[in-house]
Amino acid sequence: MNNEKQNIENELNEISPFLKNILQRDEMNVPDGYFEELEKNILQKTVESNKKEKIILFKSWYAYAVSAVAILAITFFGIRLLKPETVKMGSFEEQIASLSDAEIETMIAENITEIETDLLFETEYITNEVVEDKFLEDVRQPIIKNELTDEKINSGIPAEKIDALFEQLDDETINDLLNDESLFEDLGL
Amino acid sequence: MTDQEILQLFRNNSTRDKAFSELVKVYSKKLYWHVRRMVTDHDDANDVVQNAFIKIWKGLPNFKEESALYTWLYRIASNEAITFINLNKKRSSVQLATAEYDLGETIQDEVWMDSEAAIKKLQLAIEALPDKQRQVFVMRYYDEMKYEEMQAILGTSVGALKASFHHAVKKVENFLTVD
Repeated sequence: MNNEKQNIENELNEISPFLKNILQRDEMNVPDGYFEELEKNILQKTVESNKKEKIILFKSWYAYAVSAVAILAITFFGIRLLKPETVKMGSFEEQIASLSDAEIETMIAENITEIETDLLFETEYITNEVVEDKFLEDVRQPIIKNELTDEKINSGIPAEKIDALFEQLDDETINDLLNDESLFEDLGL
Repeated sequence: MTDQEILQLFRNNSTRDKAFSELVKVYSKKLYWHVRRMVTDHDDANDVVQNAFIKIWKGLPNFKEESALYTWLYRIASNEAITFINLNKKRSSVQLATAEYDLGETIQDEVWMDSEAAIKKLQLAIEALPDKQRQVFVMRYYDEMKYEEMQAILGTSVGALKASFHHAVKKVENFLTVD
């Protein structure tokens, strides 16, 4: 018996000899092999569990990375394949935004036959007012000045250009032009 | 392997698992018996000691060595046992009342001290102690701790611990002898 054990026995004997005798009979048992099983269970819930968490974390990180790449790829190619106009428009919008009004007007004047007019209307970069101004400049003024000969019409203003312009005008604008009394007065009509 | 060697191994990531395995090997049996004496039932003790080791595993990286490893481990296990006891106090009080009634006849028997029933009543008497006195009684008698070690674990002065042990012994004796 070690010293401390002896000290405890002596101390207990002084307080309660009765209890000392009972306590000496108090033994508790555990199932056979319990402590080996206990160690195993503790390590499974701590060390082993930690390893699994690390693997799961790695796997989930990897899965998230793969998913993110896949989503980006699908989004990128989806936009390219399914909505090419949108991409072009975005680019086109940026280019237009960087131009001054004068540059835009010059571009329209010089390239109106080359640019897809429907596209311009769709993007609202060209309006009926712009077309009307163009009409006035290319058609009305020569008419007013009586300079619009058949030759000039044929050579200066391509018929398809005039047709294209008129096609872009809505009925209301055409009516307004027809009702423009000053135009008829200028023409002496 | 000493406590200090275990802690040194634990601080190294590559040997951390090995260190904890060693800690479990050294302390699982000791802490089990401490908890078992506190909660009495084997299955309860099994659950409590495993929960205590999970807390030890989580807390060990932050262990500052302001106390001895041995002291810190016992503190966690003892607190875990007290928490369990308090959660089950209602159930325990019902068991105690039933056991007292059942053992009423046995205590009158001259051979009662040899019976399993008497030992069972002793365990119930220990369970009936207030938390602090139960901790002191178990640590002193069953874990054979010095008062100075108990002071480090429980944060109570040696004088107060001696008084607690004295009161605990008297209460258990009274529980067993007075019907």
